[in-house]
Amino acid sequence: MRELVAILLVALALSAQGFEIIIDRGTDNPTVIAVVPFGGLPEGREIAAIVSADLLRSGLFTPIEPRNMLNQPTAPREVFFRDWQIIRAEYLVVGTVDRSDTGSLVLEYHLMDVGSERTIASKRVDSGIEWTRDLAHFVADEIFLEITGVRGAFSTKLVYVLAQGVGTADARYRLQRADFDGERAVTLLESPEPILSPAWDARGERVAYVSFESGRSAVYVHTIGTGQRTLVAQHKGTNSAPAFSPDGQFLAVTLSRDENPEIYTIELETGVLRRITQNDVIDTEPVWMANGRTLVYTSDRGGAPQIYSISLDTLAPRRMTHQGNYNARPRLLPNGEHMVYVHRSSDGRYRIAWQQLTGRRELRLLSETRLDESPSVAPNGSMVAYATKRASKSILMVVSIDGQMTFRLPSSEGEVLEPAWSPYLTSSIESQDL
Amino acid sequence: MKVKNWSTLFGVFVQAGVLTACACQTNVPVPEEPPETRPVFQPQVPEPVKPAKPREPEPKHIPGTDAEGNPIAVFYFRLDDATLSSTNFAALRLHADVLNDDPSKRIAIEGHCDERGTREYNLALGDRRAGAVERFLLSAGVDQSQMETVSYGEEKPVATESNEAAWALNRRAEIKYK
Repeated sequence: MRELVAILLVALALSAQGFEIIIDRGTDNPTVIAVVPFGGLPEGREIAAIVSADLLRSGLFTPIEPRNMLNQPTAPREVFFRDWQIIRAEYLVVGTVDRSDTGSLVLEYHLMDVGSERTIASKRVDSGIEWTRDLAHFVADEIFLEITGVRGAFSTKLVYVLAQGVGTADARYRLQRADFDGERAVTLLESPEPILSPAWDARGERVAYVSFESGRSAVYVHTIGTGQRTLVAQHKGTNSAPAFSPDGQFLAVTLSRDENPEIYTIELETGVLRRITQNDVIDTEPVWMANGRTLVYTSDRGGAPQIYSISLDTLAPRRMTHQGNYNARPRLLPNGEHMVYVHRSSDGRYRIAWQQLTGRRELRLLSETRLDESPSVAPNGSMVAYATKRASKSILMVVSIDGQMTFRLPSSEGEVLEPAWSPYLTSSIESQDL
Repeated sequence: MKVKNWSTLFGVFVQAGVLTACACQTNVPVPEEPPETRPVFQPQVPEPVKPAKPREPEPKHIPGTDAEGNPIAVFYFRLDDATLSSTNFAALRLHADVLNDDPSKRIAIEGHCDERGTREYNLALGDRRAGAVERFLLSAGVDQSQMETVSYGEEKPVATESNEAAWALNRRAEIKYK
């Protein structure tokens, strides 16, 4: 009977996740890891399943499914390394879940290197006031960091637009915030008019976006914790493409108040506008470099959309893309060395491209579909979320930065658009070495 | 033709009103130009009462109007382009006439794009398409205060399929009378 309950719990945990993982191309050399269902409380199985799913989505890992494990130890003393060497696991995670006096979940886990037969890390993680999913994503972040040396981005959030009835009188638009895997979506704003271009500030506290709720485009800043909204730009013409400066004090935006779509900065406290681009063509889609002194943006100044950088000190633009006649909407990687953007290939398909900012500027295509747009990079640079169309319906995809692993976010209700990946967020979860 | 006759009647009516006003208030400026008698086309206005007998044979088609005789109010664009086609000029001149004849009239010029390419770029491109219509009307004498441009980018398609036919319908600017 107990076994049956356990099996049912696994089934529930998997179906609750609802996502679809699509492996487009074989991964070159993923690391094989076994996250054994944790012992103790029933939540242990769900937590292990979420950790495995997170690691799989990074594109760097191939988790072993529980049914393929020869046994399921929950403590290092129960581990026989030969059982894991046989199924070619390189890493092994075992542990148990308990409940603390305050009611929080406490996971003690051990990360082991199967080849060298030793324990790499032993940790005790207390969920504090957070939920089971938060605990699982936190542990996935820790394991990812131990093995790759890079902090995991599994505890981050996505903001995106959910649209229903587009092109009809009954259209509804919702600005949603969800876990990076699409779970636990909540609505930040609902409107009968389009919402687009959500962008996070560097601390993950505010989101700027464009809303047509007044019948015209306007840029708002929305504080997530309080729901408070501030109207930042509603000039004549178009108000669009907001991007927070790294220090959170400025927004770069595109305004057509002076005839033509040009890039401006707005000091948020004073509202002071500064015009950055000056020409009679389209300039838009600005993002800030980490130094806060340079914008990277899309411009038609060469006759077709290409990506440029511009120094806020000299206002001198410099072209960065050279392949093809449509390169737009840059997003910078946190390493400061690469960017992703939308590239139209010679066959007319719009796909997500990756390239270096300096030096060799050959682009690499990350996506394989044909109407891809709105790339947004995870704060550790390991994954890119983007929107595309399938059967005339807009969906969100996430692709690993090497282009090897693609997964689709759940979207049963309507069109999902404009993903914006959060920075790292603060959490009350605490972890100690055992 | 029917519209023309109605417009003529309308012109006479306005003239009568002006004359009446002049009879009692001498400081009201008298228009220097004769009352408008050329065809005035008024989109989105209910069909006026038809005159009993047309005075002259009805022309087959007036350039820039649709099957109902109203000025065309949707203008299509090529991919990646915000240049008005010269085939739209006749219709735009008719709108300029409407706006010049009645300075109290206001329009919104909407710019739209197909779904291809990025959303923010398309907002900017829609802005340029609406701006192209606005500039034409400005050059035809329409006052800036009568016009407002709104770009919706790719957010308000009229056709939601992902094919060339749908895309062609969505790359447009629309004149809407308020």
